[in-house]
Amino acid sequence: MGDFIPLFILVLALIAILLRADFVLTVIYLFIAVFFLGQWWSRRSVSGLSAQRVFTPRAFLNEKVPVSLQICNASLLPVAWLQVHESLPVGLAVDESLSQVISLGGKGQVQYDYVLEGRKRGYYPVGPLLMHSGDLFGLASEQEFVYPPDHLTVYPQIIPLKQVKLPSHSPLGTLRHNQPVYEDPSRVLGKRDYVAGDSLRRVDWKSTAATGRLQVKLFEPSIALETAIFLNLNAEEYDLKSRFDASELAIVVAASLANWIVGLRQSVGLATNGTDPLLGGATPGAPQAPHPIPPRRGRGHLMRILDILARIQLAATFPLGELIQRETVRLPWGTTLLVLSPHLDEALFDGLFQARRAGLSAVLIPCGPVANFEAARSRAEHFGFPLYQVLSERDLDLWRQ
Amino acid sequence: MASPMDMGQSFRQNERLATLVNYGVASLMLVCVVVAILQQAAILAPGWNAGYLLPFCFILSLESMYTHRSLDRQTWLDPEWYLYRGTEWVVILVMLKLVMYLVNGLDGLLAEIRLWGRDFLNSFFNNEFLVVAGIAFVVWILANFFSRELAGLEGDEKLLAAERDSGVIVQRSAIRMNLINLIVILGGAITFMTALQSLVYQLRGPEAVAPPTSGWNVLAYFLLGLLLLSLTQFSILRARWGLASIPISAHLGRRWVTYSLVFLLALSLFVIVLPTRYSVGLLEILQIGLAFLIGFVNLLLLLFSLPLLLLLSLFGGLFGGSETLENFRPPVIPPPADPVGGSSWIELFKSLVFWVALVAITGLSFYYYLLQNRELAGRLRRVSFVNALVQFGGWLRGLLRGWRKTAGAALAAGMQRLRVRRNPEAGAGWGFVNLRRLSPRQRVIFFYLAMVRRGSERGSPRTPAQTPYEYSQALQANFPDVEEDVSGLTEQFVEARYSRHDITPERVGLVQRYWEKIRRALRKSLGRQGGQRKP
Repeated sequence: MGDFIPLFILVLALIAILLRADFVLTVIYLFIAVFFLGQWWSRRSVSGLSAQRVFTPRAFLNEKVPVSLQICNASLLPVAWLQVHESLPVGLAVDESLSQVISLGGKGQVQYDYVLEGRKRGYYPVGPLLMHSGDLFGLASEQEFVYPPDHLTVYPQIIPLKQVKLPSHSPLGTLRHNQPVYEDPSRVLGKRDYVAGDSLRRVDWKSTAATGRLQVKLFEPSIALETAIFLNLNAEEYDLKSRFDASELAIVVAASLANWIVGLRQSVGLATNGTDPLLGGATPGAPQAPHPIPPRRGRGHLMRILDILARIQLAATFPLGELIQRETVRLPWGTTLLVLSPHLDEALFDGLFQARRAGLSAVLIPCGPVANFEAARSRAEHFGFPLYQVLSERDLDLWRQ
Repeated sequence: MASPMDMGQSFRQNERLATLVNYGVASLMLVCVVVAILQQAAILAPGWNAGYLLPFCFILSLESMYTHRSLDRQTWLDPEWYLYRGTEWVVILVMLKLVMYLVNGLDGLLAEIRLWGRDFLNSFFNNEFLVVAGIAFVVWILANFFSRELAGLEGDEKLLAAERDSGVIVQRSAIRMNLINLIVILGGAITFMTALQSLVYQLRGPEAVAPPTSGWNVLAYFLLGLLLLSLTQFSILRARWGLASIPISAHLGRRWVTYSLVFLLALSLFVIVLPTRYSVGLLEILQIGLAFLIGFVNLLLLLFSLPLLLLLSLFGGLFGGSETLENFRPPVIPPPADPVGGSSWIELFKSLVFWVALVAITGLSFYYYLLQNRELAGRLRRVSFVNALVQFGGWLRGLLRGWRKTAGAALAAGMQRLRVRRNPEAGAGWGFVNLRRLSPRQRVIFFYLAMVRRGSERGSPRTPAQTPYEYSQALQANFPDVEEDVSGLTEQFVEARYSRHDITPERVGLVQRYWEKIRRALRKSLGRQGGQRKP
């Protein structure tokens, strides 16, 4: 479109030269000024554009997240027209898409407020914000400005659990236990008369002085529940038909168990063979499995686990048995392994048996349909591993009572 | 975000505004064309007053565009079209005649009515009326052309929805190009006519007076043409957004028109003052520039060597030399060539601007030509001279860029220094503080901080790790005369700063007395020389 101006200027110049008309030069000046200043204005005003997106980057399932998007023009020159388009992912329900054409004055700003709803767990890009602008006359090509996306993490569903019978051999914890071998000297249950053979360290001298007979302290048994969740997200180990549902159910169970354990002020860790889109692999652009999270306590640690569970994806990676063999050496003695896997094969049971010999205990929680389930159950019974199959969320009612 | 109803309303609002302004601008452009025609007519019939044609043609062009829109579905093949157009022209001719009578006087009407009975055609359609009707017809035709193109650029919601559904999109860019061609052809024609008229007046000699509008109508025409160009760009973008169902801000149209008008008017005011002729030739300008540069360099050399010259003249005087510096004359920058009337410097400046503009236009034209013909540009670069020129150009650009960066950095540093001076940070510089506006607690803190500042200036700075008591001990060691006052002031400061006890005005008075004594002692320490200051 701007090509006609140079030609037209040439024609005017010819008229000016041939007919000695001075005023034509003024017209030529006008066209040249419009041509160059119009383009300069467009480039300059776009260079002053900036944007800012403000929202809470984490949300729980079905939570509404208000987002405030502010676009500012730092330049004194107004932006004649600006086409803005905010790309939003399909997984986040939005009332209406953000796409509009506006005009921004010099030092002007505009703010858009919209609400996202996390209906599905995941790691969603909010944006990018695409902005197009151009000059008033269409002489220059349009300018594009891209504001990079921010990300919203939607945590998986967490089902509140009340009573989950998990075995533990970690003494000196804060949870009550039946086995007297886990007596905790800091938790005094009561007193009784001294019997020959009792250690003198257990004598309660104050009671002895009061009663006139030797009294010894009784200690309450307690355990610590150090837990490591092993979540299998190797796509090849899932049944093709129920792959998606079963893997999502496993993630929900993992999140619920982690939440329950942290609620008891116990430590929990996470190891999984799924892929985290935030982590790059050996092949550029290929995601890799996240590093296992060692057992720790606290809400902050729980948030870290939930972050990974929000992002983690099913992928063809490596068997869970390999992960168990690799990671159990780092776990402290007495840790309970919670194995969430739909595929219970020989290699897995071997790994778990080795883990038991190292002082760890294991609980099998297959989520979704399991091939040869009866064989797997009998094997688990043989090894003494508790097994709780979860086919749907309703099966978790067992632990909600 | 806007609801679908708001979107539609906003779209219609913008569409209506753009349509109105488009037709108004196009009509004004046709008025400029009529001015050019009348200027030509003035050469042939100097005394003819046809100024009334301007508003008449403005209204006529608006009417023509309106009827063109109304007859959107009818063509010249339909009989109704002829009826409509026929009646339209009867009305136009009658109105034109009435306007002529109003301007020329109603006596003319009465005189003509008497002649109608005898020879209606010749008396009604006299020469003047035929010329005026011809001009009106030309305007009417041109208005139809404009209307046709502008209508093609329009796009209301229904039309855009139909385009979207059918998949047949109107090529608005091509229509816009047609409009540009029309504007350019008309503009070229009136430019030629006006230039020709100027030439005729020049040839007639100095006694001939050119009409006052000579050239202004051309500038106005192109100004309006650029405005129309901007508005048609808005039409194209609007259609694009409408087809993509992207909502448009309700104020966008109004702002578009405002920005275009302001931009073009500002540019017009600027280009009007630019020179269109020169009184000093290009070579003369270059010669003056070179002489100026040489003179400036000489002056600089003289300034650097002046102390040496002074010394030499003194020695010369001591040994009986006769030459002194009084006989010395510094180099003078040569004045500009004697112009044809007016101030010499102004004429020189105007000529300079003219030549710069001309050289820039020529250079840019070559640049764009080579940009369009890259193959030719590649071949030219193989020529060693051209290659050397290009490399020199690149070196010069790099040099200028470096100077610009340095100048920019120096300017930024200077501005930063100015900002620091105006808004000093705490401790770097103290602005005026009105003690009466401070609360008693703040005043105690103020006096303590004043003591710290003065102490730092006198060689006893407070380190960040020092508590008030530690600093008090250090200060007492260096200024033993005011030990008690320093200790007392520190105590009061700690209480004011770290407790919630009430600070009474009496206590503030006490603190102020402490501070006065400490200040006097610190001032006295300025005269002290040497000595060790403990940190």
